[in-house]
Amino acid sequence: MALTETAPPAIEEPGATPAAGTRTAPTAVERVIAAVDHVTIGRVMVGVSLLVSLASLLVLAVTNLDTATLDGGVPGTGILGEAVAIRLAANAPIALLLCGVLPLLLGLAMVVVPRQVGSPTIAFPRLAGLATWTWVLATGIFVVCVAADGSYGGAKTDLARLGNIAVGGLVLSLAAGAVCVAVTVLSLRPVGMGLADVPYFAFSMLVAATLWVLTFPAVIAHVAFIHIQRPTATDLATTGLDGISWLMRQPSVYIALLPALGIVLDAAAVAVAGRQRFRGAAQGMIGMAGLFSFGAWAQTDTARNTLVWVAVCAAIALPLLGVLGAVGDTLRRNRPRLISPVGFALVSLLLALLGAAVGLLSVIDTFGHGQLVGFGTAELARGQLFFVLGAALAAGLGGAHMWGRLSFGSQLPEGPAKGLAPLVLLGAGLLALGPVVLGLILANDASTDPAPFGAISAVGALLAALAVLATLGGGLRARREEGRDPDATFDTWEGGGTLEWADPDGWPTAVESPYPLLPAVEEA
Amino acid sequence: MRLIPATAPAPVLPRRRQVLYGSAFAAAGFAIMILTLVGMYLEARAGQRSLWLSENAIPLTQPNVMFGTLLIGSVTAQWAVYSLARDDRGHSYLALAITLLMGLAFVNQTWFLLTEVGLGISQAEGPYFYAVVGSHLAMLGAALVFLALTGFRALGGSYSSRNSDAISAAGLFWHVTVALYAVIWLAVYIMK
Repeated sequence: MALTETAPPAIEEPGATPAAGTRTAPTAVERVIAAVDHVTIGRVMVGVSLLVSLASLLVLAVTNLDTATLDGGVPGTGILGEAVAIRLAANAPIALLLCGVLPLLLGLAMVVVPRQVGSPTIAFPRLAGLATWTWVLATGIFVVCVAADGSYGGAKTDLARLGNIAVGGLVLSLAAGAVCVAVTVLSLRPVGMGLADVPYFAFSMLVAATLWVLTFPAVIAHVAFIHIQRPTATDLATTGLDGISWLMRQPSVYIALLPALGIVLDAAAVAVAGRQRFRGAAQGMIGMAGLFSFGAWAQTDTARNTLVWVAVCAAIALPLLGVLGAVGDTLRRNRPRLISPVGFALVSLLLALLGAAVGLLSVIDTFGHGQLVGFGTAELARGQLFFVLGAALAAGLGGAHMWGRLSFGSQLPEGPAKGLAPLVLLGAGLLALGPVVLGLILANDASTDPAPFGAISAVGALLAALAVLATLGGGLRARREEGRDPDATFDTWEGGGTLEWADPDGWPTAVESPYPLLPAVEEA
Repeated sequence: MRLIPATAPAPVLPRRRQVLYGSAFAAAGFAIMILTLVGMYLEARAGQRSLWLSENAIPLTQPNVMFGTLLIGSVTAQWAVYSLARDDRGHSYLALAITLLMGLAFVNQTWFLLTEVGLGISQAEGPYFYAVVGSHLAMLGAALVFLALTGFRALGGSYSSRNSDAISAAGLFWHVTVALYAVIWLAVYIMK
């Protein structure tokens, strides 16, 4: 759609100055809100998503602490009331997924992907800006609804409906932002750069955006459908939550991993200051992971009790192992430098594989119709969700450190960053371990006290929150130091082989060939 | 003596096709949403086979005419793309206008169908039926707005044979809308 922009009237008299008190330049807030450059938009999304990730992990820590303090497993006897515990436990994973991890990856993509493909701008910049601010607004509404006894599990009907609508707004804005990134990769590459030549993160975002566009509208369908029935708070807590819970179960949950695979591969290349071998195979692994993570068809229990579901959920391990093999081959053949992005990349892969392994347990349970082994599949699904989100979070934090100059203005402190990857591994691992072990113990309808597992998960959530807080602190410090070091280079790691490490001010506006098409003609 | 620098024509840059790709993604998103709602409709109907629409009758005449209307719109939408790609602006405008007319006729006929069926939102079938029909109407509305905007920009001279991606994008979105109606026609109106 075309917009007619009218330039402000020019000052007619030469040397005339504006009247006193008249602002001629936008304020910093106005510049940010009205920004259509991809770096500013992306930074907004990265910053807010880190804040919400921190809050979500803290809420998860509190809810697990409530489980840990239950008296004999009786609901309502912990540090929180029963209603509050149920509401927070239902909404915290949604917040971590839609307001934390996915927007962190998308924000990074908005900042980095245009630079990676050599484009001065993102495709549909105004749409990207609209998507970002819609997401910020929807996040705010969702958080307020959860806090004010609304959203899923809340008691107030109006706020419960508003929280439901906010979820629809979140997925819609994420899908719109993802489309901007995908179209940037498809149509704004320079002449001569084919799709096979784009960096891995850009390629993975193309695949991820496709899957997000094929997944999130199904969530919108459920949100809209239940909303038109004028549901009560109870309806939303049961039917409403069931309608979107498939998004946090396999195979759909793996859509969060797709951008992480690209970050992991790019980090390995940066660590060795070289290139990945078997480029086509690596891109094929990303594409395969995308194919197996399409889960809009597996929304109901009926669909999840089929051989196709079993096959798809088991097969997701193949591309993950493939990426691990590619990264391992690259690191083995060269001398990798021990930089923080590599640590985050390896942690991300490990957590992803653990998530796939837990998914395999659910697959075995389903394949045996619950007779082979009768795991607590709800707990296993919750554990798998936290493994996958942990993997995506690790990759997101690794990407924020790797592309620190783009994401925050200057490089994040490398020393503390090296300690964050093990912290994320421990944190996400413990957060997921609690429900996984509980699910294994609850096999064959056994019962047990959930308190110890709640304690384990609470510690894990706190550790993961600490890692996010450290990244946020490093990012704020990097923002303050932007531009202070005149000798800082764009190629922070001195080995980046893709376009985002080049100084954009030095990008030529026109390509000049050293070989002119025609020689100059001498005039006699 | 002086050298006359040789000049060469500027290279023809590849068409970026941003709008076409964006429209493809948007159409895919709408398709998934509508297919999800159709799936929910079919699942609900399968659970209440003997009672489904027992109190309301859906005539076949209007859905069939609506389908034919959309198919005509598909032909004219593609005619608009074909014409503009050959700088035949007159036929392009005519085709766009007919497509818009077909779309408005579809909306009019749908409204009449809904009044004829008389299904209440409080009935078991109501939310499913109106969710499916309403979401498709929303997609059609978006297609009409897209076509209208594209038509206005074409009138202003923004598009030609060298830059016809927006018309192609609008045509693509329209075709996907028609394809989804085919699914709804079969699942809701024929297999009732």
